[in-house]
Amino acid sequence: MNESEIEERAETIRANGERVGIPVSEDHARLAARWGDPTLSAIEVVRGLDYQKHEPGAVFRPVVLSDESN
Amino acid sequence: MSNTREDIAFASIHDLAPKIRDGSVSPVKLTEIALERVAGLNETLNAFIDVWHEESLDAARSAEREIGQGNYRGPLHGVPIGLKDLVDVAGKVTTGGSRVLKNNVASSNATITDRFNDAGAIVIGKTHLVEFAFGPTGVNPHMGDVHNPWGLDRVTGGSSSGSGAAVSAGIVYGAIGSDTGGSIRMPASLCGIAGLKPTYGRVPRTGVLDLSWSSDHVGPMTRRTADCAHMLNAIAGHDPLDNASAKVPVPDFAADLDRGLDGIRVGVPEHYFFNADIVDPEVATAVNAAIGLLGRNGAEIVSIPMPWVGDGRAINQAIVLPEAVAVHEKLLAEHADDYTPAVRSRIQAGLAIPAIDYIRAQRARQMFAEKMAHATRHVDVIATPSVPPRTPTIAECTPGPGEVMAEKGADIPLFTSIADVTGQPSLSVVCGFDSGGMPIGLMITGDAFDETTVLRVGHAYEEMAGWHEKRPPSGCCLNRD
Repeated sequence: MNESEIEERAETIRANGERVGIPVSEDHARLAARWGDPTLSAIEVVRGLDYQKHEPGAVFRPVVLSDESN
Repeated sequence: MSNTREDIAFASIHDLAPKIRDGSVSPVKLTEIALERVAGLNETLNAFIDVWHEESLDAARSAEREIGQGNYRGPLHGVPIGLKDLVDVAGKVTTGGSRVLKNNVASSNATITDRFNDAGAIVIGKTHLVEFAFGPTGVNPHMGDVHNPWGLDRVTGGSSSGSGAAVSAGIVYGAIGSDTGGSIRMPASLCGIAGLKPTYGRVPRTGVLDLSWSSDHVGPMTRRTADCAHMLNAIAGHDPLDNASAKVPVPDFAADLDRGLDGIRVGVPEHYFFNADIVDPEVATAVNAAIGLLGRNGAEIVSIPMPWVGDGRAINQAIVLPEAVAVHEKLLAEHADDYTPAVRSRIQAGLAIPAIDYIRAQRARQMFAEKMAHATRHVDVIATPSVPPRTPTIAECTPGPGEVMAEKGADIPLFTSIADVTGQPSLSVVCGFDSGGMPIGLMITGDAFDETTVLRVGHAYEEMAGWHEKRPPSGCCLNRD
């Protein structure tokens, strides 16, 4: 990533953090963004996979109360 | 067995259990030796965060009394062990290896703590870890780095760094680790011990700090595979308090240990795991020699094409990062400055992953697990290296200013993370040493919920090869005999 990509990614991290109530300083956003290369390439790899016929690996399980869980 | 204190310290649960049962080995003596070793070695290794002297000795006396009265509970009864400091023990602080939780006193036991207590194990304290179990090296700038007993300037691997060092140095007979990208098997490999990541859902996570709900596994680390089987017997089984806990039969994991390799088919991936661009040649040589030994002793070796298998690491990252930032949402909002800068930034990197990419990764995970099941349907286990590189130094793995992770440690989880995606049981056992004297790990991965076969192959290998009997250099042993 070049410097402008890092700045752009850092701003995304900072803004998303603010939106969900996680304070991210500019320095830490930049640190996180610099580490973004493997993250970005992981996302790119996943986007290229043939997952369309599959449901997510983690799916909701309905709750059934039993004596065990009371 | 010789009677020197060091020989007793390095004995196995498998060998000690019958002697504890018949009264020829004393749980009190074992616990005294463990406490003596932690007192003598912890300043060097930094393996333990907290040690409970009086409580451990009380528990050992109680175990000895019970056994003497004919109430023997099983192979862990009277055996000193350690818990990674992300496992709750009522009344004790669970730090997660972080200043953030320095006052986090647990109000109740984790399910596995209760199960160890029921089995009569003597929990002597909490082992060190990478902050919040989020890192592959064992480096922890706030709480101190853990040192590898085989080379004190070397990393232990993470995140169960203290458990790896404590078991390897003969302080305890077993310890608990957790594994989200390889955090049981990486330190097992680099510290020259056995470490089993059980099938996802096999061991309850209740009362264990989360990192990534859909990828976290809890499992045993011991000096030999048979001891992993005994520890797994104590902690496996459904827990209604854990949403991921599997309602499946729990076999006796030690039952098949001595069945040997006849009829076992060992798959060797044609792709990725032995790629010369990824794996160190000395590691590849040792693992190939181990596979050869399996083949000469009854196992059928089968080559398996897996051109897609390298995608597993990317899927693991795309799942773990968003889950980790969600797990840490509240702590980051309230205590961000108490995190180490590297781990804080690593977790916050998950904020940049859109929701749809997380869901894509979970869909890809399902696809990947199905591919793995199909590819391995004609074999019992697959055999690969556990960790691609030789053991780096602590200095090489310490992030510099402006770094989130040093380049050196980044490739350590490339192989282990794959079974965290599929949820398969996966074991690392020592299969030799590199030219610098550091251990090398062989990874044996099996079908979901078939830990029994994985343990059987690991045990058979150890019995043939004998590498697990080697002890760390004298610098890590007490001279008190």
